[in-house]
Amino acid sequence: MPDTLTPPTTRRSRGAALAIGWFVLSTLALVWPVYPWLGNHVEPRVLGLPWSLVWVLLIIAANFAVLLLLYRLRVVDDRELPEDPP
Amino acid sequence: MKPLAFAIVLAYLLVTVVLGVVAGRRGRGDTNDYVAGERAFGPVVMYFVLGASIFSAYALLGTPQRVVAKGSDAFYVLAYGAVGLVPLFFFGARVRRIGARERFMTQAELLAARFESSRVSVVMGLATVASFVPYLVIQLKAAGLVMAAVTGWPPLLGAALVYAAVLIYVISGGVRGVGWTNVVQGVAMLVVIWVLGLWIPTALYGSIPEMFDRVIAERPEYLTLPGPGEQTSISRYSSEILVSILGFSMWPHVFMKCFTARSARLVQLSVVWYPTFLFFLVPLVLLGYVAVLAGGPADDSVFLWLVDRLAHHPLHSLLFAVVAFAVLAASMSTGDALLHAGGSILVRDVLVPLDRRSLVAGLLRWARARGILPPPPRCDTPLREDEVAQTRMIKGFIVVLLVAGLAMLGVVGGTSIVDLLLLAYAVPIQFLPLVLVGLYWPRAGRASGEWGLFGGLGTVVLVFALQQVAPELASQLNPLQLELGVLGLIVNLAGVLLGAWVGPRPQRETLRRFELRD
Repeated sequence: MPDTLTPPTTRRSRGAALAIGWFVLSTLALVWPVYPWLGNHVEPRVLGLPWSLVWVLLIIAANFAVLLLLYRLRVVDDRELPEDPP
Repeated sequence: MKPLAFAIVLAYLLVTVVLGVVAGRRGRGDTNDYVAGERAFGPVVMYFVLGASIFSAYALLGTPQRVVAKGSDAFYVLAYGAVGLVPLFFFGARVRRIGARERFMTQAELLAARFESSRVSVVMGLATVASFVPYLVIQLKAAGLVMAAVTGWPPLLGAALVYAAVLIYVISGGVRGVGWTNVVQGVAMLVVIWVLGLWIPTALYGSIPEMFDRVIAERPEYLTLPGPGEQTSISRYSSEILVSILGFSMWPHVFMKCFTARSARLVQLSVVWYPTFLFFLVPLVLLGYVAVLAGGPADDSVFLWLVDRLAHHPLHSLLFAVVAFAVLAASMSTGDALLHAGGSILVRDVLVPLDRRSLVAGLLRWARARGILPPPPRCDTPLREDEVAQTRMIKGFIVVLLVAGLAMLGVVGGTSIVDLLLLAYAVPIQFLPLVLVGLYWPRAGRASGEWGLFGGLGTVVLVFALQQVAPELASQLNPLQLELGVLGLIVNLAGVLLGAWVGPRPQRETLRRFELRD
């Protein structure tokens, strides 16, 4: 029986809380009031695309980067069952 | 009849059938194999299973259509996708571990065990299957539309041919058949969509920036909210995104794929890579703007209409063929997951918990006596212990679900499905409070789970019925015009909290199995 009941270290749980904070912020950036303020414009255009589309794509890219970082640093729940590959 | 397209489609259907049959020869063939793929999916299959199951024919045909109809409102799919699967990054690893230790294969099995209530499982199972049917009909409709364009046959016949292939690979290959074909379908979709999304705007307008120059000059209202005719208020857009994010990871055919992963960390890795799949929607948005400039139709025929803009191109017939192929791939890669999950859920979540009731036990005896189900290991083995019978029944229900979907398509032609789809989308979000408190809050016990789920689903059904029977009264009672799913969620949360407050606590042993402390 693996030890899945021991609470994670403080550093880890602080990291997980920060991560949740980031995703709440990135959600807010996609909806009212942040999206109409910062995202819902045609200019500046990037590679010819309108800013309203670029804004959403930038958030997707940022979330991808953050998720990759969280995964590599093993910040969120990285425990495995002993019989499974690491 | 378009011979090249027909040949490509047939060849593709054949490939999926062969893949499905080969996939079925792997593994032991018991329910753990058929439903959860022996919990051995690797990273590539997991990536495409999550990506392709979610990106359906609805996304493929609907995204350009939405740009034509509502402008930048169509970006909402990208917006909710950016965050939608993130909850799975947090709880997916735990779900995978608990699932492997306790041998769970479906979302409802996990929640029924956590809330110590088989009623939770039966109600969740029935609600899920009810919400799958309209979703499946949309996939069938898209397949019929494409086959009609390729062959000139009635849509129902085309859809039936395509889904006959799906039926073969789902029945013989189980979830491994679904996974392997989703890899082929996913790669096909990504390649075709990117080629088209770059090619068509360039061929017609010189380049993508030049195309947007023209959109800015001629139809600038299509680039920002509230869009053409001021159709989409920012509050409506925001609420749609928030509701979609909350419900996204709760779709049972998506959630149960946590159980198929080879390890807990692999569930997280699949979520990490998922946003890259979203970029495949960008070319669809570009194609939507081509249609805006060229005055394309604002319905789901716009995708095929775009291909006809290049009717004089020497490669037009090949282009048409690959588009038909991509739409079929999108339809099949969602349809197969719905059929497989639907059949599995009906047996594992609805019939198995009820196998001591006289109706189910009698049905089982009758089917065994007629030879429909194999003879049991010993006399009167209950369904929960007879894995061979379970797998056979799952396959039977997959056929029943497909026939029901085709019948609905034949009767209503798919048009009045949209209302039912609203109801369908309100269902998975009702599972969210149960999943979250079930995994993280030791205080929540049986009363929490039952009151929350029954209250939430009951509200959704009642309000939906009221909207159909007395729309004016329904809108008076809902002055903020909150969405169906949100109304259910409010009652659901109240039920969960009340149940935790007054209901008994779960047993210590149950909490330990779910990695929780009393």
